[in-house]
Amino acid sequence: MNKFTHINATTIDAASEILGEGKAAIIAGGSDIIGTLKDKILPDYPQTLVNIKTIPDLDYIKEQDGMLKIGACTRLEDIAESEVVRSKWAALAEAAHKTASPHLREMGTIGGNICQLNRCWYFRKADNRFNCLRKGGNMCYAMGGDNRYHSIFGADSGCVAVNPSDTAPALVALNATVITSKRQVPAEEFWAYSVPGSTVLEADEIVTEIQIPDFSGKSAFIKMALRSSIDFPIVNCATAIDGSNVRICLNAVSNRPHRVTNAEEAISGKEINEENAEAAGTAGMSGTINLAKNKYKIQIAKTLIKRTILACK
Amino acid sequence: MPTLTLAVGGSDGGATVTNVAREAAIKTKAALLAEASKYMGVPAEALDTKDSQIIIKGTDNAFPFQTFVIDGEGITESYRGSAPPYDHTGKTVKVYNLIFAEVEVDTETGQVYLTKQIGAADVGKAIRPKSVDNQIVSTLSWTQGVGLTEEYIYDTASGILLNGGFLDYKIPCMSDVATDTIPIIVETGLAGGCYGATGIGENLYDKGVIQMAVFNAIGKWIYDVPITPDKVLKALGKI
Repeated sequence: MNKFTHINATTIDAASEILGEGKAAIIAGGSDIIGTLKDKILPDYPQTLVNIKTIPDLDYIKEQDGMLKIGACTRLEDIAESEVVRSKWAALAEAAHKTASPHLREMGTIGGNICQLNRCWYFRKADNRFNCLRKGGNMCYAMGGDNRYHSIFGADSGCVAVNPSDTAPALVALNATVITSKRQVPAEEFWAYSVPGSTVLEADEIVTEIQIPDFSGKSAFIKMALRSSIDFPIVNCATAIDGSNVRICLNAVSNRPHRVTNAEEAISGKEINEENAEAAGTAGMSGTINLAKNKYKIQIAKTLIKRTILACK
Repeated sequence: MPTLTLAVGGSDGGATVTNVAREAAIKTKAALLAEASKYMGVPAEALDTKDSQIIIKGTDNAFPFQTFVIDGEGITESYRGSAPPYDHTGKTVKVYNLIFAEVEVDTETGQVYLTKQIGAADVGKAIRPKSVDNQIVSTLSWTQGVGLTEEYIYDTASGILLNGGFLDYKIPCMSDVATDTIPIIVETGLAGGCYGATGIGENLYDKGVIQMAVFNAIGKWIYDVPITPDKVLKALGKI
């Protein structure tokens, strides 16, 4: 691993200032960034890691002002185990619970989970063996290579790497807002293609809180992966239904979490049954563009839409 | 005191080094009885060992081994014997195993769930039954891994291995192993190891059992392992 300076920040402003100086990155749980550094996947390395765990009051789950507020440094395990999250925002609790493994959930934070870099074995191959588009190179190796885990909704700026977060689709389905040191961003607009990032965050911007509006409907999250633990999703899906208000979001199917409005419209106001849920799943698959090896993901995505809808009955 | 240190591989230990260990144990026991004889004034022939004690034959007299550790010095004897591959006493090694797998196939996602595995192995004699259980269960998990999730994936253009880490090369986790995993030990003394023991481990592995179980579940053969969701969905005509 390259050497780096490690700074324990005590305020958001101080952390932002260091980030703004460049060649710096945030570390919270460290479960994504440390792997990134150890494997030397990037051509350019941060020289400074800013630890934000030492900033007070970033670790909390509370109901306040008619919404759920979760501090950016709240660990995934605490969200998974939270009675209040489990009872009212079940999709998020389940998504947190399905992330990685028990040890990683005890370390990884919600802020880190939504800011993790995209997943593609060309992008993430150790020692920067493939200097791809996402790293400032001029080629997407997955497009013509082994793309069994890649995008089924086309490329974003030429890149077919997928966002692998389990909590992200739950946050989109539950209509969350990401609070940063600079602004409030609807979850749906939080992710974007950038080099090498996965969000709209500016270099010196820090996620501080997640806000989720009060929710009295039902929500569900289902993840499909080859292993039941320590595995990223082949596809995952979160659905939240409150009366005729339906929000459905897939992940691991595109560069960013993919809200399936076609599926939402298909099921909105209709009785939740096998036939209608199936139709919604099929509607959600309009616009898919499979690559050479990932056609099967369309069938899986369709099925997960159906099953999450049925789970909201 | 006698200590036994052997670099025994679980797979072939029963068939090979058990006979060497037996010779070393006999030699060490003789040295121990000779040493005890000196202190006890009893001929070594009148002594024996039982439950980590020296006993005087025909009496109830028993002395723990450590009684004869004088000035902190124990007894060390070594025996260097050959551990020929599976043929110490002239018998050829014999291996008789049976494995079974039960799977559930999700026909909408193509995912295969291993619900039950049984491994029955004739080990001749289980020198340490717990270890034999471990050998059987661990080999069943290889069968599961190669049958369902494990494979090297190369970029065909560059020849670079794409999944060269345990995150992407998917060995089953503890939570993936079938909750109903049953090791069965059979002891017929069939082989040439000590007490008729033979090896147990790799010989139990067989990915074919997963392929057959999947065939029985969906009525389609999938010849290419691992049997991943894409192959199942294709076999089912879903994609």
